[in-house]
Amino acid sequence: MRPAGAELVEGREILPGQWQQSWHAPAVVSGARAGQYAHVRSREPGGFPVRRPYPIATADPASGTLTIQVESGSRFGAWLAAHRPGDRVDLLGPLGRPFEVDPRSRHLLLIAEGPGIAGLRLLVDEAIRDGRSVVLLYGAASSAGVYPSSLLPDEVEYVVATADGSLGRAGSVGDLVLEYEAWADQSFACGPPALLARVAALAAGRRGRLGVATLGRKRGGGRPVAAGSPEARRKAFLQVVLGQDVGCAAGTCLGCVVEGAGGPVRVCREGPVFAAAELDWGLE
Amino acid sequence: MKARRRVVPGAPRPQRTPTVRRIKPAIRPVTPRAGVSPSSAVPSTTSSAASSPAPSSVVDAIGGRPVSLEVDLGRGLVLANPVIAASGPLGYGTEVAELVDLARLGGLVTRGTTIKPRSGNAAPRTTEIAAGLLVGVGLQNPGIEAVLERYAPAWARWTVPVIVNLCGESSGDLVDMVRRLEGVPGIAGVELNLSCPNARGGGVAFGLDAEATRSLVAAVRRATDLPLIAKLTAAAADVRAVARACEEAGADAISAINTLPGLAVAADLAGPALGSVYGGISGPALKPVALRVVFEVAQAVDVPVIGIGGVATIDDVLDLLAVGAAAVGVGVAALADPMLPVRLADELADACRARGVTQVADLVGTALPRRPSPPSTRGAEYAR
Repeated sequence: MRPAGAELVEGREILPGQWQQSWHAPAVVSGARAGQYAHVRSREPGGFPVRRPYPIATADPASGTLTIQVESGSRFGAWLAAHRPGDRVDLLGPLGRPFEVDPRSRHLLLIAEGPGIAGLRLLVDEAIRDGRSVVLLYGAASSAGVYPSSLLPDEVEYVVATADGSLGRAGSVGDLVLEYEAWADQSFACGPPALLARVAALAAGRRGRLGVATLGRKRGGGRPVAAGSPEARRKAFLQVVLGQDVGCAAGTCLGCVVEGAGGPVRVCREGPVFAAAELDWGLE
Repeated sequence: MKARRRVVPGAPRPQRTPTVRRIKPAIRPVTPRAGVSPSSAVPSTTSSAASSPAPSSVVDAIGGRPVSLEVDLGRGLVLANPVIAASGPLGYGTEVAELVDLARLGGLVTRGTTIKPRSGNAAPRTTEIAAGLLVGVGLQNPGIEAVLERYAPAWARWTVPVIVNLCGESSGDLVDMVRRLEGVPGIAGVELNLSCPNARGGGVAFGLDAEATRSLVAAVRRATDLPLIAKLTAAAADVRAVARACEEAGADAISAINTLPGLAVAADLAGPALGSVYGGISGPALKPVALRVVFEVAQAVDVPVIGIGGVATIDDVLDLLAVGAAAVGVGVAALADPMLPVRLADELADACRARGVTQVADLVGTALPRRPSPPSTRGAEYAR
């Protein structure tokens, strides 16, 4: 983690009120992994006392640029979206712990709704690079809010659900999950809390589908791994990204704490990626 | 020449009754004391963050005069510069040790610590307000025992004075906690959070009542020889009375102010925005209140005052010094910029040079009136 100046290379409105911004920040891009975020600071006089986290949506180490997705509806988002190429901001990153993909996983199921796509976008690139097959389930209110398929790699199977049925399947993205979960080795979700709670309920108690790879092993064999460790997350069927605001990103302010299965956990340090079983979803 | 006030440690501190107003002592500028500096008081080993010794005087590269930034808070607690990290934003210090050059801070106040572990409030715990942040963390901390075990060894290696912020619901709890701090290497002082509910006083915060404050501070004073700082809340009806009670009960310094209770409404208007219902107002929104309280308290007591509230720029530091703060705490602004307190200390040395003063004490209290100003308890409109 280090503070770095970042320069805006390009900003464009990819959806109504959704801006994709490309920032030149080589120090942040190098070593960035899917699931991590950058923390943006505003120097507006009388402006915003804390930074805002933005998931690193794509990272290109060759050019030293990363993209983030900015909602211009909020006050901070409007300030950030108004930047022009050449403008600079103070950007801290990469922060947080990344997704942990089991090396044996071939089929990844990615579940996103609305702006939550930004939290999974880099995982798409990483999975394709590693030769895994990816299904991306995406939910939006209407066709106007559907993430453009032109911004995704060709290798991805992109399945859309809209609430009003104007594009793809009518209904919520949560309904699509039921059809694809049997295919998946591992799944990853980012979106509103209601969606995350629903997929967490589906995944509860479920182990990875890697039956072949575990053949011949003793039941319950292997070293015990601590909950929350990268090893434990690698074995989890479902990992989620929490999209909430983070205050200090250093783990000191405890403003971003959520209820975990074993006590409070900090989204900024232990997260923003969690194995679903690490969090208390209030299922019982 | 406006009135300036400095407290010289070692000088007998006159006892006073709250009813008799005594004339202010003469101006006594503090000279840097040879041989007493935090770096010599605490043995230092080289670590990544605490590699450079804290400079007590800074010499301009182009041959400017050295500026003394040292501040004496009493009972041997000498800060290398007046800018400290207030309780909260930097946690227990170890979390940011690789990011911040802690050795260049005047002091570090830890997050609020209680006798037993606390898991804190339900989310959301913070929400942004106009010019500030509403914070309702709920004192999440692992308890004094675990804090000393995990963090005190690191504090003992650092040169920066670490002041432990303590919260408790009875004087028994707080006495118990300060006794555990006694003799632990690396602890430079104690800050008492007076905004804790008094279990015996029907849950009303100690700091709202001068007598509850007096008995609490006196009990803690009897239990420890560590430098003792009492942190006032601006919610008290008369902060001067509470401040005098702290001084008379033996507090070595007073910090002012804590956050003010506030409320924000959730976006869907269905209830409060925070899981804790109320939150503490912090950030620039708090600065005028902090200035008012420091202004009043500095006139009421002789112990040094640490001004806290809305500090984000060097101008905020200078304002608080001008109304009588001997040192200044940086709060929520350090969340967005953890390096801010260190930078403010550097800028303060520059500000001293720009104003032609050789010691930061010369900037303290310049805005205080010659004659005591009327109290704000009269209400803002009737103050004159």
